[in-house]
Amino acid sequence: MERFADLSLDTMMAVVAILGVLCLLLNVKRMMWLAERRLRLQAIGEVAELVGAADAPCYRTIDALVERYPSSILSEALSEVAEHICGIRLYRVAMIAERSGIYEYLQRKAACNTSLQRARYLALLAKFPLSRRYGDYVAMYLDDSDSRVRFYAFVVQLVADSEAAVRRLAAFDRMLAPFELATLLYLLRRGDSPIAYTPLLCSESCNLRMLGMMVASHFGDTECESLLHKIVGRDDDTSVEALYALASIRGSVAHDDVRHLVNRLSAPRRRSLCRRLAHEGYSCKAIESLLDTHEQQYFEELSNSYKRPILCS
Amino acid sequence: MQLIALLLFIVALLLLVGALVSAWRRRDISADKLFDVEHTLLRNRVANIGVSMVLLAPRSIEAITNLLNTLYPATELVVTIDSHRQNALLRRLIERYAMIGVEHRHLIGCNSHVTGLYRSRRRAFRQLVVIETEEAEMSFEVAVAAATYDHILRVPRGAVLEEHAVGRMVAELGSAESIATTGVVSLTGATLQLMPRTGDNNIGIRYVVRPLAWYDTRPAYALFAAIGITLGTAALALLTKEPLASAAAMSLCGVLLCAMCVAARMLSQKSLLRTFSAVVENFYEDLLVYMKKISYLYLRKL
Repeated sequence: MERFADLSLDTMMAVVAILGVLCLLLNVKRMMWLAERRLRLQAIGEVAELVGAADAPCYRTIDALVERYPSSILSEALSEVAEHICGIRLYRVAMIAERSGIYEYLQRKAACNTSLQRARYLALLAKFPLSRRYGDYVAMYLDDSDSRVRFYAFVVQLVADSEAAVRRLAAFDRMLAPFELATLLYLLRRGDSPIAYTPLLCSESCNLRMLGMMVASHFGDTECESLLHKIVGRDDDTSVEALYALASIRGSVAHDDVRHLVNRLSAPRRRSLCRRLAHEGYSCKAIESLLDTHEQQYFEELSNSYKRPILCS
Repeated sequence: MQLIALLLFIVALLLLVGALVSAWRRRDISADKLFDVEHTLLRNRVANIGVSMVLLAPRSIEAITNLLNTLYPATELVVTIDSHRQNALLRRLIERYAMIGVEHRHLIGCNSHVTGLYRSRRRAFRQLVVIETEEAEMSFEVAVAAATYDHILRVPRGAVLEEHAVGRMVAELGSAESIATTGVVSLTGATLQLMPRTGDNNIGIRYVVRPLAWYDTRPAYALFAAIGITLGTAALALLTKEPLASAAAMSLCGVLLCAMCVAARMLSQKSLLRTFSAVVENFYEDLLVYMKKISYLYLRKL
């Protein structure tokens, strides 16, 4: 009995110790996460203060910053600040990054790592103002086996040489995924990508057309309605996207090409389109040529449920 | 000494398992870190991907407030309220968000179970939809019928979402054509899955390993309560040093561990192995980061 008690005590202590270690690890993890976040926020504050100051930062201040923060935190802080500013202040960020060796750090890390880690460092690099030599440097990653590395290398090239953006986009070897297009739209808002959507919408390249549609729907410009009708009539991968882009700019859907496309859609897709059109605030009259009687009734009831005149007052 | 050796062996085993699991899920972890860089993008709409979050019979108004803080723009929150039991909550919701009753005839097939559909008059809460139902069993179907967007995120009661959690899922979903659904993993290994309204949900599921993206309070409380009780019992057994007390404490530990496993499994709806692997792999990742930081500080000191 005594021996059993000793054994059970040891085993119990082992179990308790394991649970204690696990509990401790959870707490350590939380503490580390909080400490890192605090350090990052502190670094962002200091960088923002330097960038927003009346005078350009001196080298001694930048060197002090480098002493205080590791390159990983500093690169993230600088990219965070760079994301939220534009114009002449952006070159201050570039100056700090140049002096603190962030460009070299990111290039080195991209070279050392593989796959998504490499993509991460390239994504960080793309947030800074870049000269053309960086575009040439990342050209070797355009043949990487990972699609995200290829994409972020491509983004770095776009940032480094924005004049050739349209040519590069047209020559991109695959159709861009929605999140990648959103990344390009973000570059556009920063001024690193073309903003004139008309040549994009008229292009033969799928990627350019998709980007053009995203630009048009993002800015809600109704002048591109006829171009979107043309894309709807093309009957290819981009037609449905063009229909949704048309809906988001509240363009006219009473068009033959739109009608033909809607007729070819499956029942769930048509129902989804109904919900989207109702959400965008289309009237029953505007869509009556697109939908059958049951769908029109559904659309009407759905529209009434939004009660726009009351809710949006 | 034997005990220390056993402990060291177990810790080594944990590290080994962690290394293996971490290597296996390296891509997901890296994807998560990539989205960390792109967090500004997570606030922007990705193509036509919209998410309707469904919360069934919430206990408090704070759960709704938390979900309304989601930063991804194309989101909607559909809340169902049991008309028999949650009248007080409904009144508070109507008062707080200035909600008015609207028509609900479009809820085909579920209309008979719905007592009322409410939308907010305030522009800031346009994404909030409250449904008053009579039958709790049909709540999810009713909520899906009322949802606007094509992707449904069923949020369990008691879950607290990070503001970027939906954005991360959408980013993962919009990153490749082949992915049908995606989700985030919590600290306890439970998952929140973004489901398309139609189609096969079991094709191409990808999980973003994001331990703090969301957490469910119930398994965490169960875990910490069990650990606390176990430690307390063990301390008692050590102090008394009686064989009978030790045996009783040992049995109690066993029962508690079993209860904890069952609770974690039932509440998170995932196997214990998954929970364990999530905890271990997070630990392994952090250990690597910690070692890197120590080495950095050491080099800096030199």
